[in-house]
Amino acid sequence: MHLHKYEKVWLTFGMASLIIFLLVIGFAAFWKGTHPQSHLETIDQNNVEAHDSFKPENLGLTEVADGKYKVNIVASAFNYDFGVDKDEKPVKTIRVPQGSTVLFTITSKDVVHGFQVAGTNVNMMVEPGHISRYEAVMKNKGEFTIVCNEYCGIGHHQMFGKVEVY
Amino acid sequence: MDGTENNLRLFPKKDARLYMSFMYVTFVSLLVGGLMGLLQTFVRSGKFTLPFNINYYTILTVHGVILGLVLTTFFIIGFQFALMGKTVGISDKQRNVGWISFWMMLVGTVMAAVTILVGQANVLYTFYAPLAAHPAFYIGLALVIVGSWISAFTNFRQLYVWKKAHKGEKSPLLAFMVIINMLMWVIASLGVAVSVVIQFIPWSLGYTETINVLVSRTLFWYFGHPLVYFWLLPAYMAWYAIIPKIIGGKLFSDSLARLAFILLLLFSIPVGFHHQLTEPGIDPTWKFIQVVLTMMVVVPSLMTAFSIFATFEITGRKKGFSSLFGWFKKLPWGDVRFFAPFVGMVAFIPGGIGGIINASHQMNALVHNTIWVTGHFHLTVATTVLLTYFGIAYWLVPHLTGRRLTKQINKLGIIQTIIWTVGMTIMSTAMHIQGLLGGPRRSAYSQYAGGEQVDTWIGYQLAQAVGGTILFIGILLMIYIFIKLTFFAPRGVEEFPIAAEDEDAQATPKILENWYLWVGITIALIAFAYTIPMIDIIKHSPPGSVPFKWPIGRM
Amino acid sequence: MTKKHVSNKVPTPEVSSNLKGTFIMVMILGFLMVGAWFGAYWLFISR
Repeated sequence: MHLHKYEKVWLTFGMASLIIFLLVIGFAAFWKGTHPQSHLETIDQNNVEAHDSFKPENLGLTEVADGKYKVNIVASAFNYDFGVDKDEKPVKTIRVPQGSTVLFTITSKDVVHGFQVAGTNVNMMVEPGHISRYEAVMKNKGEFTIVCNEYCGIGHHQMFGKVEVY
Repeated sequence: MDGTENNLRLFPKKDARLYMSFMYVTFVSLLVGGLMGLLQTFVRSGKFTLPFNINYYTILTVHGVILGLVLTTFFIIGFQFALMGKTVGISDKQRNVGWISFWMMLVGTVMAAVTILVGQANVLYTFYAPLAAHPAFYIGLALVIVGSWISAFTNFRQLYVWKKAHKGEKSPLLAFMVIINMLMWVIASLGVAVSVVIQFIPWSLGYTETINVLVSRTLFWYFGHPLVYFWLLPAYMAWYAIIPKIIGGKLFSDSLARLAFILLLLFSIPVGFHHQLTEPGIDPTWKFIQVVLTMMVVVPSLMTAFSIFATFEITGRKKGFSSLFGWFKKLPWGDVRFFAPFVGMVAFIPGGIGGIINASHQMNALVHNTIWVTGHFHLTVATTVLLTYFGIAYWLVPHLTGRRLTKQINKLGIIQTIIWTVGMTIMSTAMHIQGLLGGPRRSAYSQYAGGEQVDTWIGYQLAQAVGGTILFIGILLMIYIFIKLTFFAPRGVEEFPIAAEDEDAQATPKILENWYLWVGITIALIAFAYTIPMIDIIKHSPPGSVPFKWPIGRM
Repeated sequence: MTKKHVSNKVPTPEVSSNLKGTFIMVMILGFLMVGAWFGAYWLFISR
């Protein structure tokens, strides 16, 4: 079995490129900690309130330190529960200043959902019995739509929210 | 046996009828599934609502199941039966078993399709738990899979019988490729079969109360990635062994073709986590390991790219074109059997590159579940694979019906290919861009919370409706061509173009046909990539999920 | 040990054929791949 000398060059180039891709993402993942969302904690999906993060009073946005925030969310068909505001109305928009670090923690009470802050790198699957968690720095100003990006039923496209970075 | 003579010898009627039955289902599926796709792009444009209260997700499920699972599987099995029949032959008994396989798959398809159409299975083609469809949907799917296994084992048997009669000879290249594809298919679909039979069917019937969601998803994607290679490999068969004949050349290298297929067998399966990169409950180190394996499966495609260009260049140079790219100009651009697959090859350049981006671990967050992904697989499966299948159908259908691909039909085919190229360029490009801007896939029309971002998405959705309309015109034309080739084209003998090896080609190493070795390594790689994470997933399982019917509109 | 390998080599048509055009084509393809990948990576980093 013979390889033409050009084919050898081509395959070497191709494989070297693939190795470089892997080194770049491997370095970022293992040394800088930018793995994709892979939180390993489980929860009883029939009783999510038992978990501290998902008690009704802990839902939504909380400032934990200067420029550091956390957002806790309970997903269910077809709604994201970000808690309620002062007037007891459900929160639909999360507002944070530019450059802040936000930790999103979310779980599902029923079926599989998605949680994407469109236009940012916050993009995770939300599954019953599992907690998904991702920390992101809000680098860019603007309005970002939160979409459920995994099909969850006939009202799937009505499941949304918004993040405003000011 | 002289190759060229065999290429021109028509199949016995009994054999042709079996292979043709698969083609009928393929093209009926194309029409039904394509119509659903058209309606989807209309709905997402925001200018149109479905009549009779039809649910968007019903037509989305039909589109995915009928085109992704039914059209592909039926075409592949029919085409592969024809390849086996041509290269190693089929016995009466094997043909009868082939019929059993066909009917089983057809019954399963009809069961699943009816269940979807009456609104009892709005779960999309991935049927993620705990959304619960009617049991008939899962039973239908199980029948399709088991039916396809019967075909696979018939193909194994066909080659085994031939080998016994041809001691010491290497198997014909196309037969070898079919066996590789079927081995991959059987090994991979075991995962989804286990999930459907052990998890979904008892759970949907109420015999078990709960289902382990993450296990079911992992089993699905263990199958889901090799599934796309199961679609692609028949296209590669045509590129390696049929296109050279059509352009008047010989095989580039028998051994390299076999080696590429072996690598595809080895690395197509232990890579399913790259579809689950943003999921909770899976250790990121294991995700990364499967990302590395995913990059390995790129290598045989790099080899394929070289071998295709080389086939073109060598053929052109043998015909006397000595300038650097003179050979390129002289390819048979007017022959649709070449032109349609060629456009497919071109589409695989952005398609393949997009695939590498999708699989790049944390970078997946950029595109996961956005409509970029839809744009990606409309390039790979709906252009690369589908146009190559069309390219095959232009000669396979008349070969089976004893008719000819006339000049006029050939011309229609060229027009069809151009329509497809234009429509898909518009639709897929719009999908890619909208996806990078965060627009989600698998969603009916919605203005979400409003705002500039959403308006931009809707603009691209309008472009997709334009592309989708052009593509549907292409589908209608293809159906017309199929009907012509099946019933009305003039009688005659259309060639079954199988390329021959160069007389002075090097011998193919025997090790390439050591099935125990390759299947052994395949299983070892799967065991390596999946055992530990699977044990982890099962050990750290949350409580199981009960079936959820109401979210998909079941009472 | 080294001599044996050399004697096994037989020139074949596969080796001697002129594949310059092929080489240029695949390398264009390769640069497209690298360019697109780093483009996407840049987008990922900037978000």
